[in-house]
This record gives sequence, C-alpha cells and structure tokens, in this order.
Amino acid sequence: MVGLIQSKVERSWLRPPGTEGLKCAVRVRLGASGSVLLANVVESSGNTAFDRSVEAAVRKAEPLPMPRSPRLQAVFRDLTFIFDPSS
Amino acid sequence: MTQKRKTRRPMAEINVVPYIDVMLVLLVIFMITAPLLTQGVKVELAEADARPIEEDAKRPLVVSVEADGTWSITYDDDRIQQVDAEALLLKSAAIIKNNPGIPVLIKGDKKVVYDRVIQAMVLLQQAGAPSVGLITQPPEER
Amino acid sequence: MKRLFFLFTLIAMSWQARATLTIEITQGLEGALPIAVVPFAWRGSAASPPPHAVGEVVAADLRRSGRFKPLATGEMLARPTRGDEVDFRDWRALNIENLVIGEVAPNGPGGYLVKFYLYDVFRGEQITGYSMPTTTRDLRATAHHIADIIYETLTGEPGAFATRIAYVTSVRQGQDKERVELRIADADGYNPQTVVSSEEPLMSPAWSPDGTKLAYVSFENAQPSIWVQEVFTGRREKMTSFNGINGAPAWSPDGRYLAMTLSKDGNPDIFVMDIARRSLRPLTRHRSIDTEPAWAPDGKSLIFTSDRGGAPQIYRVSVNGGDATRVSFEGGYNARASYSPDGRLMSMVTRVDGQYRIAILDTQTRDFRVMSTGRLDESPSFAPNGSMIIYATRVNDKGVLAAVSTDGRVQQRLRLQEGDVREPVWSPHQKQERSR
Repeated sequence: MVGLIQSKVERSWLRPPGTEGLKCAVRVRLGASGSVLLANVVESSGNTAFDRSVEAAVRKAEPLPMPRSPRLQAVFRDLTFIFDPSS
Repeated sequence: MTQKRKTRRPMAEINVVPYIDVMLVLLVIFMITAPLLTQGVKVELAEADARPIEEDAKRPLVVSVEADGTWSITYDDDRIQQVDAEALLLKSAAIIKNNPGIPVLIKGDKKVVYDRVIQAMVLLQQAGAPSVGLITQPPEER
Repeated sequence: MKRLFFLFTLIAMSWQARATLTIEITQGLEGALPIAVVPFAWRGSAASPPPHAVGEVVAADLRRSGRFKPLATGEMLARPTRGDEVDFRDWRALNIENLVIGEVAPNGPGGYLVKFYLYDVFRGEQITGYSMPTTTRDLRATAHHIADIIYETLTGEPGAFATRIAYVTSVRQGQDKERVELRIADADGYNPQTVVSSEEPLMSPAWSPDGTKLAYVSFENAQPSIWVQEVFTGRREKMTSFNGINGAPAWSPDGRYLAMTLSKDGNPDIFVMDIARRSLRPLTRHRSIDTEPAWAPDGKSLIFTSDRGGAPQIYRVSVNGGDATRVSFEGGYNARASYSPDGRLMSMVTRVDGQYRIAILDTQTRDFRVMSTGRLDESPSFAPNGSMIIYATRVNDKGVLAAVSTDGRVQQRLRLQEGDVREPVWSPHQKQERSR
C-alpha cells in the first residue's frame, strides 16, 4: 500500500529544475476514499517553487490508493511525505 | 442449522460466472473490431485495456455516442459536454497530449448508428490516441 | 529513467501518540512548471482593441525564462476571463498547475485598467490578483509587471521581465555612411528608444547600479572617450579622453567607481576612477593587454580579460590591486566575463572549434557549460535576477539579440531590431508600482 501511494505521488511530481539537493516534508490528511483533504508543507525546503511542486504532487495524485479495511484506513489517513530527490 | 448440516459436502460445480463475463467482453470486442478492420480503420485495441483498471490508473477520457448520434466528452468527474467533430478533435488532442498514457474509451448506446462510432474513433486517432477502448452498456440498461 | 524502484521507510508507528505514517518520495520528473495564460478579454469596443495582447506578452515572458511551460492557446479546453467562469476540472484534465486569467477594460482617454488573477488549479483557489491602471504607452510594461508578479509568486524569486536592455545598433545610411545609435528597449526587445545617435562608433554601454545612467565609449571627434549619460534627461558628461584607448567602463556595485581600460601609459591596463573626485588609480600593470573589467557583486574584486598567458583568458584581481589569478581554464579563448547577480556564475565568450559562443562557469563547482550555438556570439549579460543571459548573435551576417535561460533550457532570438545590433547589456531591477 505504501508502495502504491509512493509511486502514484512520484508519477505526479514535476520537480523544478536545479532542485536536486532540496528536501521538504508535507503533512497530508486523506478522506476515506483517498481524497486529499489537507496538504501542508510542515518543513519547508526554503525554495518556494520546490515547496509548491511538492504540494501539487500530492494533490495531483488524488485519489490516493487506500486500504479497504477501516482499521488500516485510520493509519493511512494521516500521512507525512518526505520529498528528498537526493536520496 | 439442520439444513446446513445436510449440505455440508464438497461443492461440485465450477463457478462459471467470471468465464461468462470474459467471454461476453471478448465477443463484443470481436464483433466491433471485425467490421472496422474490413473498413480499413486501424484501431489498435491494446492488451492493456483488457486488464482490470488499476487502482491508481489515470481517469480515462470517455467519448459517449448517444442514440441520436450526438457525441459528448467526459474527462473529469461526471461532467458531460456535448461536442461536435471539431471540438471532439481539439479537446481530445489537448487531453491526450498533456496526459501521456491516458486510457481513451468510447461508450456507445446500443441503438447508435454504427457510423458515428467509427467517426469518433477516426477523430480520436487523429487526436493522437495510441489505442481506443470500447465500453459496453451496463447490464441493467441493456 | 523512471525507475519503478521504491525506497520506502516506515518511521515512528504505533507507540508515539502523534505517530503518522511517513512516506519518502525520491523520484520525480524534472521540468518547467505547466501554466495556462488565457488570452485576456477586452471589455471595450471591438472597433478599438488595445494595441498589445497582454496575455500573450505575459505567456511569452514566462516561457522565455525557462521556468514555465505555458499551454498553447489551441489546447485550452475553456477560455475563462472572469473568476466565475473558471472550472478547475478543465485545467486538471491537462495537468496544468497554475492558471492566469484577466481582462483589459477602457479607463478614460488613452487609459486602460488591466485585471488579472492567478489560481492554484489543484488547490482550487486564487493565489493572487491585481488591478493595474495603465496607458497605451505602458501597456506592455504592465504586462511585464504581471509576468514579474506571477514569477515571484510561484518561484519565490523576483522576476526580471519589467527591465530593460541597452545595446548599440548601426543602420546603414546610403553609401559608406552609417548611423550608430545607443538604444534602450524592454527586456523582450520591444519599445526601442534612442539614447545617443552618432556618425562615429559607439561602444561598451554599461548601466549604473540604480539604472538611471549609462556609461559608454564614443568615438566622436575621432577620439575615444568615456561618457556618462542620464537615461531620462539625456544630460551627459565626459569622464575620460586620454590618448589611446578609453574603453570598457564598468560601474562598481555601489555606483561610486568606474573601472575602465586606458592605454594612456602605453599599454592597455585596468584603472579605477572615483567618479566624484575624478581621481584615477591603476589596478593592473602588466606588459600584456588587460581589458573588459567587471565587478564582483560584493565590490571586493574584479575580473578582466588578459592575454598575459599568451591567449585571452579571465583573471581576477582584488579591488586593492596586487597579483591577478587566472579563473578560466577551459579552451584557448575566454573573454568578456561578467558575474551573475549572486556572484556564483560567470558568463563569458569562449571559442569552441573556431566558433565564438557564450559559456557559463560555475565558480563553486568549476563546471563550464557552453550555452549558445552561434558562430560569433558576443557580449553576454545576466538578467538582474540571474535567470537569463542576453547576448548578441549573427543571423544572415547581421547582429541580433538572443536570450538563453541560465539552465540552458530555453534559447530564443528576440524580436528583430532594425540594423546591426551589438553589445546588449541588461539593466538592474527597476522600481515598480503595484496596486492590489
């Protein structure tokens, strides 16, 4: 499930040129169907374009894959994404 | 409880329902592609389209052909926009170009004039669709 | 390139109260930002439309920067011009992340009111919006200001579209006669205005750091001399007119000094003039040719071209003089260097296979990249935000202006000017007025 979410977000991420070394964290709240209710940068990279691209990536990936079991859903509804192209 | 005990034995029948589904889909695909091929319209029904739609697949671009022959286009949510030939070409070309790999589907009413489906396919090909899939009507509408 | 190879980590689950699942994203496609600029609506009479298509000017600016990829108008699924006409689904379907719409309305005689709105498509909300009164004459400038606001909002760095370039152009007049003009134009090459006109050569224009003055070399009266001229009033002053070369003036970042090349003592060397006192002190003293000085943005050192090693290369010297150190090592010819505004990059003319091209040297990584593809490209000059370089190239044996984004992604020839264009220089940032 983590892999599915990860690959969907990676496919929708368009990274601004020349931002290899940057890193930022986004806190995301999801609805039961995988809709993005909230996506906020909680640790900025210091680069506006990079931060914006990261938020857009999460929103573009909507709806995110969600597990069917309600108990597992509870785990997946509150996520932190670390965007780190250098690693 | 007593009834259940009576039926407690290995089930002998094969569950044939999924096979019927697959056969029906294949039948429809063959029925539709065969005349198309004779008319010289190259429509490639990619194998990918026959696979169940993955959970993270892109939302498809759907062109509906109504019973009266009008076309409409649906690319996001359930908004349906009626289009003429020019708009169909322009809009689908823009969507296909900006969404590499997007599934393109045609949904036809069963009473539709066949010609209109083919025209829609030709336009979608011109718009750059590498393959066009076909959707049949859901059973309750049949 | 796009490897489906996942590196994922699960950190801090279960035992922590505020535990959230952490997913690491490492792969992403690198690319310019997709944006749509819908052609602006005209709210006045159809018989008298505004002289410029504001939306197109904005889109062209953004594209030229290399940071944005504006959607072609023909690919738009809708063309809203008011907020209530925007349906974000039309733009999400095309993977467009940002949307710009706007309108131009008549505003008194010769006046216009330009409104624009910038939207975040996937968030589904307006990011910013401005209403800007303008005139027929300033309509293009307003469009450049809009591009600057969009650029700054989305990248966090100031735009450089509402700036100007100075360049020298020569127009043939009859037989054996040429009129040489020093002109300034908008950064996209439009709105050229003549600042100086002469029958003798004009050379080496240089902007003062506040953008109000130009220093240049004029050969009027058959003697090269360095002049400083106010751009708006035309008032000018002769700074030097020594025997021999008086060339290549360059302003210090604080605007108090002019570095220049003088050969009054027999051999071309770099001198620094205190403008207020008119006092000169030599910066280099070498038997070779030293010329084309340029200041580091911190004002503590200068770079210049010298053939002291046998061929022209770039050297650096402290503002207090002393020994010069060589900074360019790639290739057998490097000249006319200048710093990017942050001081990290250096642009220069380099020779590659007998062709003269524009190159960028990264002073930190020593990475050296050739940026242009012409045969005789010259005079590179950074935009004041460092995003682009303007230079002169030759097309059909005529000098024209070209620009390349600093990442090399977008190369563009600017609108063709009249005559043979040389020596473009980009102005510093100009003051802008905005009203929300």
